[in-house]
Amino acid sequence: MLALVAFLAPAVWGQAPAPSAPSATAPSAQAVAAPLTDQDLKKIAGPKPEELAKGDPGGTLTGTVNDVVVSDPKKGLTLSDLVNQAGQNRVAINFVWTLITGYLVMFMQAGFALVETGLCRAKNASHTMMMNFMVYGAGMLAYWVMGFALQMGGSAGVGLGGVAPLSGEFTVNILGKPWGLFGTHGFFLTQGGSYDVGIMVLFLFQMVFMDTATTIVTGAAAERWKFAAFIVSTLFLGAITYPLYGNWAWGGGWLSQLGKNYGLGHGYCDFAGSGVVHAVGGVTALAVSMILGPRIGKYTRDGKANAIPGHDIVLVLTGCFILAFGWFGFNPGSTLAASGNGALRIGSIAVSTMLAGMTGSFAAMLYMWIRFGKPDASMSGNGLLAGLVAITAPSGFVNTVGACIIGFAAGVLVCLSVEFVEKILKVDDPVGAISVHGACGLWGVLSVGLFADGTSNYGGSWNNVDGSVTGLFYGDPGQFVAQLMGVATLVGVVFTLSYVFNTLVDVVVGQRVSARSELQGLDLPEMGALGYPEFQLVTTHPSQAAAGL
Amino acid sequence: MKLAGVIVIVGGWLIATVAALQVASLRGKLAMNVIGIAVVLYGLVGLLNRAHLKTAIWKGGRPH
Repeated sequence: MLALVAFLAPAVWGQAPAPSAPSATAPSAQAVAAPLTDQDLKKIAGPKPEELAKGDPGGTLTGTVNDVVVSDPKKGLTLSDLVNQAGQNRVAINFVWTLITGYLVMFMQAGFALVETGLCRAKNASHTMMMNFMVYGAGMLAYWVMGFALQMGGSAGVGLGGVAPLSGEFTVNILGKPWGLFGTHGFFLTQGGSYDVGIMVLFLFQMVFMDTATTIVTGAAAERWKFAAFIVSTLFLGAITYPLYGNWAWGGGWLSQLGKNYGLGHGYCDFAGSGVVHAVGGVTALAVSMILGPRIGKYTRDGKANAIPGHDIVLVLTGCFILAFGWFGFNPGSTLAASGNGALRIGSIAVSTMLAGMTGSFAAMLYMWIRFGKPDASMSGNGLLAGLVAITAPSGFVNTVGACIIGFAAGVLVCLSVEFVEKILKVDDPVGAISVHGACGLWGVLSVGLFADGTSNYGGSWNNVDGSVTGLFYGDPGQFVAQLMGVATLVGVVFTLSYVFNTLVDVVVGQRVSARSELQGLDLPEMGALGYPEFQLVTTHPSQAAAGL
Repeated sequence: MKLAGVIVIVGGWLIATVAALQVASLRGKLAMNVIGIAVVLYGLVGLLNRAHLKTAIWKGGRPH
């Protein structure tokens, strides 16, 4: 009770004095130690109407006792009103924070659209843009119908104040321990009591994350993917594949419980989705690209890769900036809170995010400059994204030095990976999505197990394990093993699911456009209209001209 | 060959997770994980992707 009184004291006495300049008239701690009653509250007077009528340029008369909601006007202000107001204020802060950061993540779709369209040829601009546009609607539909329920239907306990109905997790017993596989509440956002304000906020935030994963695939499969096949593939990814892994990592599923059940650190930890979002999108992009095969002219008859440059680097780098801006929603927003339970770490998370992006772009630029003699613009952009992808999982657990190292390593990794995918795997990825999101997403997952510094405190525990997430370099090798299991699952299960389903789509619908459509450009055959109808498109790059492109 | 690749990939995952969790020591779990991931990558790069490259378009395979 004393603690409650001390907590409420500033509100009861109106404007709290600044800690460095206590008012002489402010009540001392001993004075407020006496039990507070409803009668005491009646003595508190807010600003008078004549004072308010003069305006409040200093902001000292706005937000006082007058603004506390009273449940019963006859009784006036009571202690329970005050306590309820405090609770609602905290939840309101968290709602607004989560919604606004979710809106930022939604805007990342525009960034992806610009990056991918800019990196493709002008003859496919409308098709590439349209895939990025419709991935939003198709993914959302699948996620609303069932994806959200499968992912978060058993996740009751997240800090939004009102998601208790999400309490159904389908679990099987494996090796004597419960393995959560998928959620069972929340279909159509109505079933299982999910018509709930907190669940709506959670849905919006999780939905835009899922859409980020689905839009990664469109980049790798661009310039040759049949639009109908893209829609079917996206529906499956949004309804099944993404939600399953999301449940295992974030919805209380088996990966998140590796710490509680098997003593592996805090279980698999992926703060904002290097694995759940980016690696899921990246390995699915790899599966689809393998099935589709490379674009006509990408490889010579002896298997040597040709460069097929994109048509607008301005679009690409503008898109990268939009994505970097949206990432301030992606990572800090993943606290799902700005108040309570250590959520003020959002400041540290935001700074780590921007630093990793910076070192990623620097690393990629330097690598390309040293290796090829020029600071390649598109790879610098991809370096920025690589750093951001990599810091996404560890952003909530690492310090700024760790963030810089993670981002720098990602910037080099993305350059190496692009070459590996193109020259060794001979998988055609027009935008580098497999490397940016797949390879660097996996690196981000591993980096949690290395660099988590054990200083975060989100309510004193994570994944039902007390204490702070701590990586190998700070003394917990078990965390690294848990992260390795996440990597194995991403490549072993998520890739396989995507590969098998998209192979079925290839058999039933057909994944690839005809050779004639591909050579003509997909805008007319697939979309019915050119992206740039008033321009005459000509091929200027020597390798493209030689290949008849 | 493609089916073999998929089977090896899933087998690698089983080694890295289900089998690794049977090992008592942390070092053992770590080793099983590394082995499992190596098997997964072999299935992906060495079997599945190689099978796709056999019918690559520059070798006269697709597109249709």
